[in-house]
Amino acid sequence: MSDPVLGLVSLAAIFAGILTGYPMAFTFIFVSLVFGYMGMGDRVVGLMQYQFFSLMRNTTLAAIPLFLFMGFVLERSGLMDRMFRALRLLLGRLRGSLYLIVLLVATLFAAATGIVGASVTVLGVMAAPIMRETGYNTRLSAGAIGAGGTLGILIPPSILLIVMGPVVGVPVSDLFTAAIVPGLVLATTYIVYTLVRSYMNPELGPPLTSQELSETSFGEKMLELLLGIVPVMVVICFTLGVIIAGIATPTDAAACGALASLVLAIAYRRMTWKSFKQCVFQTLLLSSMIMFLLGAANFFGAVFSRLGSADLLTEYLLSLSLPPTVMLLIILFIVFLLGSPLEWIPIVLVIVPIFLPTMVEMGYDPLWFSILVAVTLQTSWLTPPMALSAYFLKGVVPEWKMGDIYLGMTQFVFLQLLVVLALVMFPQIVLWLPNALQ
Amino acid sequence: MGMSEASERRLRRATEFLDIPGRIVGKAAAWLIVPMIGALVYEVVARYGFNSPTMWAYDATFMLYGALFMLGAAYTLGQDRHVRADFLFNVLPPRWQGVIDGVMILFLFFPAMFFFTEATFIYARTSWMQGERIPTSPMMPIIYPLKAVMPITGALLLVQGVSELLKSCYCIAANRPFRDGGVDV
Amino acid sequence: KAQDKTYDLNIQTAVPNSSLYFKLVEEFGKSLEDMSGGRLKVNVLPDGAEVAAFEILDAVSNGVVNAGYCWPHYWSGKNSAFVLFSNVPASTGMDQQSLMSWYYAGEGFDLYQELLQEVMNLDVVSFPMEPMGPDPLGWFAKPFESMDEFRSLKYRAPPGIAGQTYNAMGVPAVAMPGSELVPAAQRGTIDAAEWIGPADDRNLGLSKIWNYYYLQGLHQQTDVGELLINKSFFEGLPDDLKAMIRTAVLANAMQTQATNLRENSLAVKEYEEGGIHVLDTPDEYYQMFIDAQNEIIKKYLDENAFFARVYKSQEDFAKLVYPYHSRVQKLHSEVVQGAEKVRQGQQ
Ligand code: NA
Ligand code: NA
Repeated sequence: MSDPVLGLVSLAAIFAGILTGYPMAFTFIFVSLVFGYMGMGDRVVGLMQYQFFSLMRNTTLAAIPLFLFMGFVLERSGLMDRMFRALRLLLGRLRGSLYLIVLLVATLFAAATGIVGASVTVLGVMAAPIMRETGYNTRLSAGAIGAGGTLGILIPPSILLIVMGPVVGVPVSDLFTAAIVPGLVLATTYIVYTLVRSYMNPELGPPLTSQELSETSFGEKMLELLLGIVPVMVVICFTLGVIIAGIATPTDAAACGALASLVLAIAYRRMTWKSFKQCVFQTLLLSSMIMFLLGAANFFGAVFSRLGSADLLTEYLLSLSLPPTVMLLIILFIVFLLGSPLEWIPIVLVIVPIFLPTMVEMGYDPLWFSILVAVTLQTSWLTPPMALSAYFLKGVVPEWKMGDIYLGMTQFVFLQLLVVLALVMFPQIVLWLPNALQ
Repeated sequence: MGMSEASERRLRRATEFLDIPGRIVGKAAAWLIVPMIGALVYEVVARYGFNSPTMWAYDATFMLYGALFMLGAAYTLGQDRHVRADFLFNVLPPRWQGVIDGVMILFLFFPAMFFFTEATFIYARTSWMQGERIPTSPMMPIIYPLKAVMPITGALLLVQGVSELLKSCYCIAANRPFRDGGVDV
Repeated sequence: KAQDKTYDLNIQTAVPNSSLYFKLVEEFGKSLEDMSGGRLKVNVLPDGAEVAAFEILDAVSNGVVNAGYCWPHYWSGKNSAFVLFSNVPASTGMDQQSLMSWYYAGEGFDLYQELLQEVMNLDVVSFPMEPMGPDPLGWFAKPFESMDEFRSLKYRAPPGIAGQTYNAMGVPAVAMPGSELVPAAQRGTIDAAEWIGPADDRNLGLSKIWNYYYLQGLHQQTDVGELLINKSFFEGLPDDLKAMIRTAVLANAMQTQATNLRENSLAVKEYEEGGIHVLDTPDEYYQMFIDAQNEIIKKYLDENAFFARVYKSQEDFAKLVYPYHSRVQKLHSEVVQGAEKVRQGQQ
């Protein structure tokens, strides 16, 4: 069997492994070892060592356990629940108000950090309980959290754009500027989608009942606003604000936020020694789940890209002589397709350089093209078998069925592809801000 | 096929015993989050407040975080918190879930973790013999203790795997889930 | 027949596609393929494609990839002596030209193979290939006229001995991974940062964030990109192919020197036209840096006998070339400056 064929078979093995329902981190490691061994001999263990170790020494990703701990403190102390209830109360009859809140928080999170794992899991910890309790639609909730969480790698700062800059030869700072508007367009699309669907079918995001509304007086609402919303909002805005204000890097700020939420929870007398211990241990369980899975997925990505199926497919399609627009759409389709088994890293490092020269030759603006690739790549977090956003979310909210999570994410993948098409048709969405700032 | 109370007791005692290493190491590693917060808050205050950033906070951060999530992997397995895609798995009766888990542990988990442990052991040993330091930091602290975390993680996972195998045998014999649900923390 | 056999050389580099140095490695590969009539097939991989930068040495030694392109000081965590083979402490007195002379006409090449193969027991041969020093002091949010002013700036420092030296000089040296540089710079978490060099710095875009660029710094006044090849693989090659590799390395060294000067100069011109202030580092910086580094180096000289041996070899070499080199340096400087004065006068 030739290596590229081996790559395709390994993909089938990954799918089969996931279907068994066995913890997928171990499935990924096993499949990568077997197919890596067939393709490159015992050198495959080298790839495994490097992938895991480079994860272990990554200070940027160290923000994940810290943000998780912060999320748990706010959740265990009941402060988060209280805040969401209060916000929902304020938004009263608006159908799907929790979607709106989740997506706004996700956008704020995305503007502060450049990684995905943190926002998906923290939003899952904080928002999923109340969404379940108030009868929100599981699929739409999961999709909103998962897709909202992936905004982090598009809206600057973005680790994806930082890696992509030197690959495409466009300054990272220009990529950041160009990604702002598309990122906000995407966030707005999600919000409009969830609100319109909730408006058409109130069961997807039930508003407060008239009874619930009449039970609370205006004064009570204001009191809740003061006590329930303001302090938690202050902690969250403080944490994300110190990043944006340049006082701290995301990892620093996550630690400060963890401390601040702890202080808040103690001030509200909502933190016992027992619940503190629970926060510590829950943080461990989730961090291990996320990071071990990420290591395993990266290992598979390294093996798969080493086997060369992705290069082969890309090179074949480039060899066809097609009109520029068709070629552009085909390239974006390849990026989308490869985002299913691969994470964004091998796609940016190995695949983008293969077709970048073709695109530049055809006269496309590298800045615009890079953003198109970046937006398309967001789907890679949501498309199985390597749908890491879905898996992180499942780890945080075990009560949600994986099938529902997948189906919820699918809706948002469609939205993302629609936005990609919009960017293809109206390049000004990408280029307007960079040109205006020049 | 059922299971006598006596043999169930024996089996539960055995799994409890096998769970000990993963649980102790995992719970101990969980507390690393506290010095991690401490180091970074100190760094922010020193840098922003006094314009004198530390040379060690970032090194401490990745070392604590890297050890935290790796050393917790076995405990996480013991609590069944590594993510499963459960669309088919969950509709199966406990007995069949046990069969799947048992087969996967024997033929997939054990070989994978054996090679993981062996390879990372050699990786860490080489680093230890070189007295390796990490060149990406101004302090260049020693790095082999962090690399040694990898084979320790592998070994803990292997022990935990034996316990999980017994748990899946229970599911097969009793046709009941081994855990009553809920996470024990 | 041995003559018909083809060999694949997979070079995992530590540089991204758009880097000047990536293109130079590609040119190296192309000329090898041409020279060998296709018997050597060279595949050049960008940073991280298979193995991350800091893992390249081990990966080449273990045969995960059979060749790599990186910088010797990247391995200084394994043995502190590695730093001497690319990022030579200014306190030795070696500059970029002396370093290449030490390598290919002095003891350098053999000392390096000894370190790799005998001290470290690695299955690797290394060819110092791309002289690319000096690295600039870097990008600054505001200018500084004295070292006291420098000490008020949060400076993203290079790792290792260089970072320790800045720390000893009282500069608030921030240890920050390169991946966090741009957001940290945009938001003012740091006030200054060193990166690669004028041409390659364009890709990060620090010039869009900060307006002051200092080209003269001592923390990385020499730098050499090396071609690492798995030793067993290299020795298994027919003699003519080995000779082609050696020759192509030397040719590439010449090409690097040529490309480096021109491309970096073009970049600096572009920056100045774009409103960037390219400034001179204050004079007191140099002696202060060398003094601080001398102190730091003592520990390494005491702790590592091989470090001491290489350091001594470099010091001796610097001493040997000083009487000639210093005068030629003065001549170079007079030529460059004198001609500029004439041009200024004509305007
Ligand atoms: Na972001
Ligand atoms: Na995917």
